[in-house]
Amino acid sequence: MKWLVFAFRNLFRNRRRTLVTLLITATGTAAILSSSGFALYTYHSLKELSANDTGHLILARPDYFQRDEDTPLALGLSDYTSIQQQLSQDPRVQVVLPRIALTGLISNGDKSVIFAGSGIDPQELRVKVGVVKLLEGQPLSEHPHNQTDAEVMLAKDLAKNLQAQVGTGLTLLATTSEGALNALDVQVQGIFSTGVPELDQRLILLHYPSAQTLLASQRVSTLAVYLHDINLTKAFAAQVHQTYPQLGVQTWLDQAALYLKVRGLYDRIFGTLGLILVIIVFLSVFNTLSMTVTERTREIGTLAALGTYHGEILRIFMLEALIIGLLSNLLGVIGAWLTSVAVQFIDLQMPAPPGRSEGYPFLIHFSPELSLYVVLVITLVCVIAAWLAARRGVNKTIVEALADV
Amino acid sequence: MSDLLELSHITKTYRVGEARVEALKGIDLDLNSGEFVAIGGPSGSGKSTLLNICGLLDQPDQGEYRFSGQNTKTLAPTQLTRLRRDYIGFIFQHFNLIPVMNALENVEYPLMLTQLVAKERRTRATMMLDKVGLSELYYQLPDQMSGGQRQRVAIARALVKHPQLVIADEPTANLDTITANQIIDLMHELSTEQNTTFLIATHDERMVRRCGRKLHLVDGVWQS
Ligand SMILES: Nc1ncnc2c1ncn2[C@@H]1O[C@H](COP(=O)(O)OP(=O)(O)OP(=O)(O)O)[C@@H](O)[C@H]1O
Ligand SMILES: [Mg+2]
Repeated sequence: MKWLVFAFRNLFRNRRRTLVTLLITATGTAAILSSSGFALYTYHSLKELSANDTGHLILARPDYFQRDEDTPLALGLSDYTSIQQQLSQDPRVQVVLPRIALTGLISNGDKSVIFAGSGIDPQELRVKVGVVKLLEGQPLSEHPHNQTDAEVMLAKDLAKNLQAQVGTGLTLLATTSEGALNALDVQVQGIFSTGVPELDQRLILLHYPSAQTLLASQRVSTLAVYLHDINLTKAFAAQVHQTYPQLGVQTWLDQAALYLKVRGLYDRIFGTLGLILVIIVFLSVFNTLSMTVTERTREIGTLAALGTYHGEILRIFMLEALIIGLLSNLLGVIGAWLTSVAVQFIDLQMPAPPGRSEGYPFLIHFSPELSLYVVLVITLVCVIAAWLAARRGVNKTIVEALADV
Repeated sequence: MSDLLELSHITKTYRVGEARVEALKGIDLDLNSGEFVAIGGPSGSGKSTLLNICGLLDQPDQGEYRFSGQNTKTLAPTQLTRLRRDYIGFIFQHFNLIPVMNALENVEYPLMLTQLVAKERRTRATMMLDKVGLSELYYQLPDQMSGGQRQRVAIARALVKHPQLVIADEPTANLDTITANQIIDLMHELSTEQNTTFLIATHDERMVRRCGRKLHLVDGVWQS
């Protein structure tokens, strides 16, 4: 208790210097937390986006993930309805959706272009938050009529290319599972954008039964499992793997190329930035403590003469650094939190990431857990800097230290 | 045989570049407990060097130094620190009070290094401050006190743990004559009262005369 009081008084001895050190360290903490908070927010959004796009789990025949199919749906699932029903019972599962990947030609009578299609359950459009943005028309009907033409949704650039509007009739051409050519008349139900230019030129969405008709098959490519909580993915995947050893299981992470790429990049950028900030904090505290130690050389000599052990003298300076560390971290954490709140109100946009056509909001995720780590690291850095600075003072001989003026 | 400290054939040589300064050239010294000893001598005669060795702040080059019968040569630095903490008090020319501590805390400091509980420390420190006549100034910080007051605090700090030996290197050099005499008288009084050995270095001959045992150092040797 006494030592703490003395430490505070010592910090007050040179108020301006203490304040500057405090502010530098606080700024360091706030900057580390804000920049990594931005990275966390980005990871979080991309994670959600990836998981919403693919589903948390993707189930298929094991070889489906390993090689290309010789003919459409050659490696498809035929017993998917029972698996779908069984998995849907699990309280952790939000929905299980069959999905068919297909390619072929889409024609307006005058012109045919290549498409990449996804045969889906219309519910998928509801869980695909942020992935498919409806621009015109309607999403695929939940209960399609059998009498009318099959519905299709076109990505915006493809629609433009085909001069198609909502209501336009088009024809899909594809190779069936048996290798024959088949056609299906479709009517444009809606036009959407994905934010990915390549997909916007090629992608169509249709009901998976329509896709089955076109491909003349009863199979689906994959089952997408959407969970209520992304954090359950790993455990649930393991369980599915046990229950259905005949199935191949991938998680959203296996298919999240963008997320992994951005994360790799940001980890490096913000890791380096953090390291630089830690070094700045270290140098600042080391410099301050070195000055303090030099000024107090005679005091150190006196304490040593009176029978204070080296360790006890070091402790005095480390305690002062500890106080600087804790106070500045407190300021820094508050600063980072305020920043994270403030950016919610000033609508800042980040430029589009590579391979995408749209930017995303600049937001900072405030993480208490990360704050704790940063506070621990920065405080430790302060104390180590003090220890290094004070060691020099303590290692002087007592006679030398006492002679200092 | 003396019961507190015995120095025999102590030498100490400083090297400054190529030059060698023989500060002590074979010093013998015996001190008994309760003695009040002054070491006089001109500037540069080796008084501080000798006191630093006696106070276990420095080691001699040659010779033997026994403190309370213990040969100090074989002791590790932490053991020397321990001896100073338990048995030796210091009074400095520049007072050397800790600036962030008030008078009471400065006097309490040596006790903070021991196992004493806070209340007991406080009681002893106030008693000691009363003895040196500073009952009014418990909570004064060093820079709010006069030189004489600061040296009184330093004396209280040196004596609060009842050491066997007090080392005082030029304790009055920064004080006016009247204050200096008061300080010497105070030290003498407390030495007698607590049976503490005082070893005082001074180049002020009038000061030497006020002490019980007088020694004179010139160029690193005793002069009778
Ligand atoms: N650290 C040192 N390095 C080199 N020479 C030193 C050192 N300390 C003392 N000396 C030299 O040793 C001799 C004795 O010095 P010391 O300080 O013991 O004398 P002193 O009697 O205390 O003098 P003063 O009355 O001025 O305090 C002097 O010549 C001095 O210059
Ligand atoms: Mg001297």
